[in-house]
Amino acid sequence: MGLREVLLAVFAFGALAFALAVVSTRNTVYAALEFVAHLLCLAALYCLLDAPLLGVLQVMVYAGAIMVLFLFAVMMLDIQETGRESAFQGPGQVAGALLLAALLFALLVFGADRFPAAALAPAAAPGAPGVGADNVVRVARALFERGALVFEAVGVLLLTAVVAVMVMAKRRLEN
Amino acid sequence: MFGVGFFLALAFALFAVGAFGVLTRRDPLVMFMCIEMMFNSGNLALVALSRYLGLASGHALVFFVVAVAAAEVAVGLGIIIAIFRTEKDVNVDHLSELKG
Amino acid sequence: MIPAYGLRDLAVLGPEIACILGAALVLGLDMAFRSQSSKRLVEAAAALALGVSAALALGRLAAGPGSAFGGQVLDGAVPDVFRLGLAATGLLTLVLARREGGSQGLLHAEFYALLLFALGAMELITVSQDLMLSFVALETFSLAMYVLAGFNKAWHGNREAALKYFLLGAFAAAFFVLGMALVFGALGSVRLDAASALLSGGKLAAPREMLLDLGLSLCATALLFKVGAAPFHLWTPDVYAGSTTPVAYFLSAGAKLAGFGALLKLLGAVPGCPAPFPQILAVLAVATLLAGNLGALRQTNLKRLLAYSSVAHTGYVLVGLLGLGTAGSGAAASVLAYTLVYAVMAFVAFGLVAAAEGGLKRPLLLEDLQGMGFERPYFSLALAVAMVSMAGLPPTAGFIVKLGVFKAALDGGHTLAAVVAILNSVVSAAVYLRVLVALYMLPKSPDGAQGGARLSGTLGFAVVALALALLALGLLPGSLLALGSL
Repeated sequence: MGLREVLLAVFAFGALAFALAVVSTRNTVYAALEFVAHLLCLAALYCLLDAPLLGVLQVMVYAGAIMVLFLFAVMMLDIQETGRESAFQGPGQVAGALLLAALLFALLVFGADRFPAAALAPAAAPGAPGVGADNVVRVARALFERGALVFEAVGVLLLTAVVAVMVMAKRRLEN
Repeated sequence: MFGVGFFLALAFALFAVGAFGVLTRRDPLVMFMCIEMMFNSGNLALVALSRYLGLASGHALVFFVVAVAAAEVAVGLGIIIAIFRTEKDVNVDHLSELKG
Repeated sequence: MIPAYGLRDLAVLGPEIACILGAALVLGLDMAFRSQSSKRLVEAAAALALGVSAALALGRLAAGPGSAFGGQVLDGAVPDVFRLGLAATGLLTLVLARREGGSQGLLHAEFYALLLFALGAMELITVSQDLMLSFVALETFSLAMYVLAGFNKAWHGNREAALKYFLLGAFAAAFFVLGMALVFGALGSVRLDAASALLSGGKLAAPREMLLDLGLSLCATALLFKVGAAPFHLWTPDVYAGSTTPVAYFLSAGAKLAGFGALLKLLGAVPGCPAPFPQILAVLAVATLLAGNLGALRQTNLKRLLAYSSVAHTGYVLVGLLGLGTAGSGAAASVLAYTLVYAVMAFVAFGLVAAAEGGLKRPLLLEDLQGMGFERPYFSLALAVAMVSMAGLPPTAGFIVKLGVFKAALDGGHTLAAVVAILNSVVSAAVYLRVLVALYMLPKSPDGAQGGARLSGTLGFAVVALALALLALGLLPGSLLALGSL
């Protein structure tokens, strides 16, 4: 087992462990910090999976920008355990959700069973350069050539989001 | 042992954990984080599959998903803050409390 | 190799581009003329954009199928009629908003901009052949709809509903992301044309096909949320009841058109529908029908009644969707016809609610309608036509399209689902009969609303015209049946 395998195992375990921690922590601030750790583990996995650009993006956009927004919301609203009977739904619903989640997982694994061998599109030829080679150039090409239309659509999405957020803010001013 | 199957299984596990969190937590911020976790599980699957298939176009898909998720977080937190500012303690009720 | 996209590609997306440019125009006009007079200007600009969008969709319909952007976009008769229907739904929403605007603070440029952005994205999703493009379009109209649902000064009673709507919507979107990843794993791309080519090739390794089916099913799950199908229908009553009437109409009719347009694209890519999927869909359809009709039976608030009725109608369309993949069942046409006629029925119903609500400080209740029948004959007759059509009784358009979906399900071999759907029609008749009884048979209630329910102006004209259209289509179903030949 080389260093890469050890790191993969560590970060894969970390991602799952922090995910479980987010779900089970009562305190919202702790949950947010655990979520940051979860995202950092994923970023490390991306780097190990020959996706350095996405690894950096994950740290900057997700663990950085998005989580700062989350923490900002948590701090601003100051909603920790105050006068709350429980952070969770009732036991019946927890059991139901557990069943549902297990079922979902089983369904996914069963539905996609035997995936490593024949389930996927033909794998890259052994000699071909991996996805990590020239990664940034190739991602940029995929983004701006074939993906040009989707890129434009994302632009419209962001404009919509800006107008939407403006509406939310404006309502507060008016009230 | 770290084939593409391992990462797909990890992605499914994260997806299920996130779904469990959405269904059981009452704090909308934590629920929202769990939804982001589900988005990320899809991204992880895409990254692992791109590596296995040797296709960088999968990375472009992750790029788009992250952009969409960021927009969704901005709007979602806007909604949550707008709601909480007017009333301090808003929990997402038991579904049974929905008026029939 | 850089693919060269040109004006020819843009022309296929003309209807969408008209909506989005219209939204930009609305925002610009509002910035340039910050005064009361700009409000009418903004409204006119939005109507113009939607009119252009509808005209371009008609042009595309006449021009025949066209593929653009390297196959990422493919229109055809069915998507073009969906786009036309969406633009028309947008125009009808404007008519409703015009009536409500003054009293509920809807006359902001942002309302029209969000509406136009949402419609542009909805039109886009009905022609998209690329799951990533579909996802971006889905999220665009969803974000706009989350905020539109809260576009209400009296929002305070509705906070939790808006929050629930948002959280459940984002939850459903996550299914789409994972589904897209699995499709990518099976195909190496997320293109629906690649999926259908691969599946119809027939020489696929079975697990690979399973992975593809699983991915497409997860994507379909997200779309089922948008149309309010059974496990996801919980958001509808609260959100509709808390929203303004134009928004409630837009959420029910627009989301149905866009969602089913996208579902037809998605499931149309799967020839013969893979084994477990039709069964799951049949169960969902039956559950949706029961949830909608049984829920509607208990309602006294008219908007909540219409919300549950909207869920039930989703169930009927899902029943029609079951016939998909069986040649000659006309499933796609039946889904198209049903959603279009639903958009008309819902407009008449919501329009009359808007008319009756005027000046009322509380939600409109069934007892407010008591004794209206002979006091306000036109109002009551129009409402009666809408209710009879929603119940699916002759001689209305609702009857014709309901026959279409039942036939599609029977031809697809889903006899049980079709029988349950027909039994549900009986239950739903009771729902709509309650409204008719309140209108014509019960004496005026002392607590009932006084003086409202006047049909006038654009809204009155549109409501009466469309109620007559429902009758005309029921008596002369030629044009509805012609959809089957698309």
